[in-house]
Amino acid sequence: MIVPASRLHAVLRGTPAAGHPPRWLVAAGLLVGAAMMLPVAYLLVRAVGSGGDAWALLWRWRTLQILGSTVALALAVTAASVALGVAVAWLTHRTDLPGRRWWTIASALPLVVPSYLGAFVFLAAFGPRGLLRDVLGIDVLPELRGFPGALVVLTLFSYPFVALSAGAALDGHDGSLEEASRLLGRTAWGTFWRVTVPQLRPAVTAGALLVGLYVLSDFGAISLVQFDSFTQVIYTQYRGSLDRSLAALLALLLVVLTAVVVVLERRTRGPARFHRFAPGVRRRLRATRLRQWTPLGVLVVAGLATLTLVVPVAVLAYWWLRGTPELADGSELWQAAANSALAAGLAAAITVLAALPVALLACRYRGRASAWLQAAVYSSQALPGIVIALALVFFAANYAPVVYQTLPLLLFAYVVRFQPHASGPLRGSLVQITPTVEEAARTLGQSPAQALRRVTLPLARPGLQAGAALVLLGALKELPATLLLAPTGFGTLATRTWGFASEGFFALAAAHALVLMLLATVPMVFLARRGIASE
Amino acid sequence: MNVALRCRELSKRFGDVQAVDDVSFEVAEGSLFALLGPSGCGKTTVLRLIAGLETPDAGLIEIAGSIAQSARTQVPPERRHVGLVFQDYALFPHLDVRANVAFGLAGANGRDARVDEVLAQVGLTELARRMPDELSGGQQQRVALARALAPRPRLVLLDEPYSNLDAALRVGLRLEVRAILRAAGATAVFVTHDQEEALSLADVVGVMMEGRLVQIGTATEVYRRPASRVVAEFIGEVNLLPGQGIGRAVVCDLGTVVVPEPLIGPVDVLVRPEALRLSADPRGQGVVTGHAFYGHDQIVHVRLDSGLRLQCRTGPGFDQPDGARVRVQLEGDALAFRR
Repeated sequence: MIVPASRLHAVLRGTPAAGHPPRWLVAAGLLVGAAMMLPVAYLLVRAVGSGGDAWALLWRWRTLQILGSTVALALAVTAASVALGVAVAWLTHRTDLPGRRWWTIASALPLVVPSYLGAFVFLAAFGPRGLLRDVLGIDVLPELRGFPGALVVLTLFSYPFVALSAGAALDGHDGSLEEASRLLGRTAWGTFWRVTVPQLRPAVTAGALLVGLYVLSDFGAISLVQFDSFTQVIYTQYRGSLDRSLAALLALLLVVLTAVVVVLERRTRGPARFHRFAPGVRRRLRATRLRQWTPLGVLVVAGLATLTLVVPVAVLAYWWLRGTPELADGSELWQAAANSALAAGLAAAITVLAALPVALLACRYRGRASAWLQAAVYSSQALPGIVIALALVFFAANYAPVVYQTLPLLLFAYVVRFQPHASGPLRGSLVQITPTVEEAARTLGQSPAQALRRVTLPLARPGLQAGAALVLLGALKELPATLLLAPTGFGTLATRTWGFASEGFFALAAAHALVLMLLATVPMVFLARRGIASE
Repeated sequence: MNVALRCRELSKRFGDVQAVDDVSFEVAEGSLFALLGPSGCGKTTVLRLIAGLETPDAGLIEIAGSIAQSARTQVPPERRHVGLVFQDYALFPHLDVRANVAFGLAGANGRDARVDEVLAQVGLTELARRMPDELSGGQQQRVALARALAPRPRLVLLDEPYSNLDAALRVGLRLEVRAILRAAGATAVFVTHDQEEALSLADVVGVMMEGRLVQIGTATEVYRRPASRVVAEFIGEVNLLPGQGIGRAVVCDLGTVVVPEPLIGPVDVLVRPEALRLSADPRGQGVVTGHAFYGHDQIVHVRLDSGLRLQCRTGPGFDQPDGARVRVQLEGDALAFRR
């Protein structure tokens, strides 16, 4: 739909439809906001009330060491992911690489592989008694432990964040800018640095943020490669000691760390841009010819696809097939699959429902309540799953024992953890709806609620679906919160994979992992087809 | 005469901007009222206040005799029974033409018949199953109009209804829309910055400047007797000549002209280009400096020996080249405003 210039500012600002938001919308929004704030608020209360011992323990040399190694790992993985992600995005979106469409999908698919699974597979394949040595007798690979192990595994399975957002940005680019640069005398190389890279920066930064947050909050992979990071230490502290104040303090410190990352990214990003309102016709740039470099390009994308997709599937399949006797009774596996689907499905539905008032308030009504709500949701981006889980464990154990280790509490954790996943695409959909269609519905006799149901929601459907798919994907893979909060006996594919893997039952772990990846492929394929995966 | 819409002392402020400032007017039932003004003058805000999409800071709105807005009551937009045709049409992109038109009709009873009727009125029966993005700009506009008319509103509001259409389409559609509104017996208020549009369509024109309604009158009145210099300059082209008022006679570069109101002292004499007559005359008081040819007429630019520059509208046949000496004579109305 054409947006006339005179209404442009109104569209960008999101003009309030008839003044104040309806009360029910504000009430729903505040409820969601309060829920989002609960974990951190509780951790703060807990930290303030903790004894001097815990504080003394916190200010140890060891804490600083862990802080340093966590930050170093996050920086290294982010840098490596940016390099890899931009290269793959450029190869698949801007060159004549054969089979580009397939490689694009292949570069997104590693997101269905949880990082702990990646780590497990790599250890199982390349480890001291791993597959390669067992089957092929190869014994030249360095051990994937500690920092290098974490770096390799996390980079391989989180670079798609950068590849996806950079790819989307490259697609959206106005090719005539590059052409103008060439006509103004810049070389192809100079144009890439002076025009393409600056245009890519916001998208790459957004992707890098996701990678950074992923590393800071990762628990499974880091534990498996035996690297001491924050999440790992928090978990051992929580499991290993009776006084859990130190775990709370460490968790808060982690929140501060992630919050710094989020704020830094926000700073560099600047105000949001609405490219689609740019005047003039957008032109696609002619693909760069790779010529003699084609084999190298194919090698890069094929190598990555092998490491991130073929190897995991092959290794898992190998363990599964070899260990068939262990799997005589498959009913537990299907029970775990059903549990995973149930928890993730409910989480997706509830999270999207909760995201709705938040996104509506953000896009249609500005004001103090709306701004506060945005801050609350935005800050939850900085909450690693283990932090949310710990806070909820403490909270439930002390104040609400009824919900302790019940499905509702687990779902609550998912809703808080994945709120940004749902509200991002939803807001993206909502800002594309001109407020005048809602006003038109009002003048045609519809109440605000009716206008929402008959106009806004149908139009926001792509965002609702993408949000649900992202939450589904995240919740299926989620490990630390599920480990801590799942009801006793409620094994999910993620927790059982992790449990079996850490106990050395590789065949059982592989079976659960394969089913998990299969399940996670459903929302992933949906997202890839929608092309909204960049959110 | 029944009053379909009455606005009294409407005011609305956005931050530092007084968008609407003490606006009062009435619209008679079945008539077409134009709010004319430059962009940013607050005319669209007035429309949105009437529709209930904005809340005024002060003032009263009465629609078909019942209070829609006052200090104490605010009827929500969905209960005002006002149709609004948006500048961007705001068609529902997820619904086809038929569903768009049927949107505001409650209950299945007679709904299909009414949709058919309105679609026929705007000549869109054939396109009922199309989606909005499969329609041309003119067709979209007619769908928007049909959608607004379908629930038989007491009042139809149109926000810059033709601004998104190209010039060729505009003229034809204007007349068509007026015919549709007349046939529906609808009272309509439309907002425009195009003076030609306002003058040619509306029964009554309200001229808005910087949030204030500065003049209300028929097209002829606001064109021939503008209330102020600013209004005169906004509506149509004008020549301004410095002059000296001595009662109803004013002395200026064109000689002594007669104005409707007596004035004493320095004044601006306002003369429309078509009120000036040009003739080739080697002893005339001006020189041709340029032409803008429009086909049905042309604007000839003349510099008087006093240095004053004038625009004169002549027939297409006037063919004096640039540099030719001409005589300029007043052959129509002149107005004067105190300087």
